[in-house]
Amino acid sequence: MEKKAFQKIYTKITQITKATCSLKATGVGYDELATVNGQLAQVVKIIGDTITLQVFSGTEGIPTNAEVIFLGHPPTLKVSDDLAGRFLDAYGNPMEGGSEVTGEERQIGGPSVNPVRREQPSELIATGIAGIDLNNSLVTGQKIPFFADPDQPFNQVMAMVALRAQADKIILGGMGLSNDDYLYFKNVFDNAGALDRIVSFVNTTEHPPVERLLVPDMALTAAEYFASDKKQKVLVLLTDMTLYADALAIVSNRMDQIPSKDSMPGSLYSDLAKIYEKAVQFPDGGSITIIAVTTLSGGDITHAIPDNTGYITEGQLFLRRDSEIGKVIVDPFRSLSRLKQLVIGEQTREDHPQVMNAAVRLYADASNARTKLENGFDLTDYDERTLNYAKEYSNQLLAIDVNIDTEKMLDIAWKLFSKHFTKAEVGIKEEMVKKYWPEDNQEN
Amino acid sequence: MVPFKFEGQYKVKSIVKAGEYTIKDKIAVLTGKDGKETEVTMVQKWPVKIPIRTYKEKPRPFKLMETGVRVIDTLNPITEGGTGFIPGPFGCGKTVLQHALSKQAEADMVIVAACGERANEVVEIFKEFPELEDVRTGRKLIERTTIIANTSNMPVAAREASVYTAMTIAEYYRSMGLKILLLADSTSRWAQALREMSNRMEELPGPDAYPMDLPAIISNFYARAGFVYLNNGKSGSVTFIGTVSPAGGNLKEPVTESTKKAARCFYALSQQRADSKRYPAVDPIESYSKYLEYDEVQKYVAEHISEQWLDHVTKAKDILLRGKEVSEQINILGDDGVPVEYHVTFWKSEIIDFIILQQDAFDKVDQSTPIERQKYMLNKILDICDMSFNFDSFEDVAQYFKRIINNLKQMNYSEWQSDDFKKYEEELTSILKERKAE
Repeated sequence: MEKKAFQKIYTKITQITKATCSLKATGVGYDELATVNGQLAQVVKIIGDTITLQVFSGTEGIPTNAEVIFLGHPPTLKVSDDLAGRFLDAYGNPMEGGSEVTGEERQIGGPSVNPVRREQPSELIATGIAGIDLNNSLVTGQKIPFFADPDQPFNQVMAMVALRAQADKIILGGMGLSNDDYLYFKNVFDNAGALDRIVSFVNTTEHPPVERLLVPDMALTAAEYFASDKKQKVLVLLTDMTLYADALAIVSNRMDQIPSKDSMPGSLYSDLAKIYEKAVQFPDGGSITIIAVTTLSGGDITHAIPDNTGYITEGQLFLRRDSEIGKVIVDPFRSLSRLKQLVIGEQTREDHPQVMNAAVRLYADASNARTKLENGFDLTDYDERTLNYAKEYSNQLLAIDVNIDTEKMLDIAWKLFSKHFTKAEVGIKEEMVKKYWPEDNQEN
Repeated sequence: MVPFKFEGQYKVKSIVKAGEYTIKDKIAVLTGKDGKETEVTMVQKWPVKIPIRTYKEKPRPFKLMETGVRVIDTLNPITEGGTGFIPGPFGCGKTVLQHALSKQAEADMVIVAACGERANEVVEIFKEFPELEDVRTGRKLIERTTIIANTSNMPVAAREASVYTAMTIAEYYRSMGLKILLLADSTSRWAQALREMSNRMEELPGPDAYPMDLPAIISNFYARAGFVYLNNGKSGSVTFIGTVSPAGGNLKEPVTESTKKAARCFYALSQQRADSKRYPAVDPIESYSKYLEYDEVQKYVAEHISEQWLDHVTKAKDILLRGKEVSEQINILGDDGVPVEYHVTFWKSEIIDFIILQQDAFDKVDQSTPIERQKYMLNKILDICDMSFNFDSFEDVAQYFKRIINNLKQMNYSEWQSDDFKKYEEELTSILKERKAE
């Protein structure tokens, strides 16, 4: 940051914690950037003329007489088509050299779109994964997280969804990514030849944790540029929001705030909502869709982070390892997409809602039968058939390595129905059965 | 109306003629006892956190409020001026149930407080309600609906205020002698806003980090609902139904517990029913309506529905409870480990479940059931439950009752007393004859 003439330089820091420092200054705004000893910092608290700065890279090595210069503006990002294909750090600077991004400078973290200026989300996002497309269809303008345990392959699934979705731009916000995962995303996007429609803002575990607080706002500012100015369909991937929330907790803890539930800051709900509510469908065609990852500890969804997230997002996706088939599946019971009603049966084939419900209901019968088996009861013929059906349903439709279009998924479901069940057991509306029940391999 | 803050006696000195005026036009001039004149417009300012108490009397609620939702009207009815709450984990259909209430309830005005809601859900109301017709008046639903749109990204203080704003608007209309239904979705988010603000003010946290006075705040809020007689002899009411979304569906958390103390009706949504797609997923055994114990309500029901109605409702509840107990025994002992009679008892409760409790919110006919029709169907079903049947094995029981249920379901889907309805009813009579024991 170059120094300008007549710039006020403060040199007396009154208090330093691990992530923040305080000093007396006037004429400073909330969220304003500053440099402390040449390192970037942001105003997070103002009491009278006492200003608290959050130093992104940590406060190690900052002396009490360090030079503090206020820059007079909140963090900004330069937006232009130049962004495409770039890997940027949390400040919007290129990660591995390369030229600076040029373009219009915009403040990050602005307000989200007013509900009366929004359009109802209505366009299906096809991912080819039946656990998503068939049971939990995604819609443009939706916000939905994966609730996953750290050992599950959520980054892989997310990269797959991103590449298959017909989005004009994919924006990756990586928070606390391990370097390996960062390279994984880079390779996958590179190999797919999709680099020109991808923008990445990455904070890896090698960077200071507090820096990652900037990542979602950076990613969403870029997304807003493409969706609003360029009317493009933008998909934003945020991984991992739990680490983002942890960074919030670090800062609030250092500022002596009283911790709320699970040691999280009291404002967690507002902080998360500010990010997720940026998902929007504009009337003129542009849209921002957010797919995030929230890692759970031991599958506990009552923890403050997943709990607050669940209030804000439009559903959640669960991954689970199915030991019967040895593959990871999208859990049909716990996963939910709240916006699927807007598209299924409307943009997909008419039988979609009924087939979806029937398939899940029969799968539920299978899990009842499994409980019966475990408790040592005899299985009826129907129970046996549901178990066989469940295995094939899991393998051919729920597994995340499936890649087919929705019509094909529905056809497979009908085939499984006719193979294992009678029409009455499936219980779908008569006219649909007449139209789609495959007669050739009918056994009953 | 004369501004609520006026106290004492005033005389109307002049008033404008009937016609069209903007809200800021001078409507009347009032003269006080001291001879001071005040001009009155149609605008009033009122602090939202203070209740409007310009009524003469607030009796216990006694009139039933028809909602068209069977599981509420028949089993656990709410009254005009009553309070209720709907707790349930994510994805159990809280919002769908509230939308159904806002569309069908017998109210002059519906006020929806979308408190910390998802913007896309608010957009849904904006887009849908101007299209939908109010079945009672034939006009568009949006004309009787006020929406307080507070999306989750808005400031936390706005979220806290949103439910008070909604309540104040409701009280304002109540003072005009109207029947108001106030829905808040969700009060948990409101409680979270209280938590966030108390945290910011550095108050020491109570249970789950909520403020210590959370139960008091919640019960004060619920107390603002009610049925009132106004000073001019008319009556008005604010009926309040809030949703609560407990973390992970655990009903033992502070917001649910405090609300349970304040609200008189409890509609528990159960994850299990939602998983098996039994919508609306209101648990018939956990839920309750305290109003059924009120003498006033009992008298009102006897006069307006029928003398036996309450006995019938109690009977239906008993059948459901017995059905649940029996089904647990069947699960433990196995299908053939219990007498055939047990299966019959279980399936009788399933009839009530499928025909009364379950309701298709997306079907044109089934979505709203007038009380007259509910009464007819309940009588019909209780008659069936009173019959005894001849069965040889438990497998026959399920088959037979599934046919009965299917027939009754088709009746639910048919227009009231239409040819289809009567056709299915006749079919039902002949099915019943097949196995009826004398």
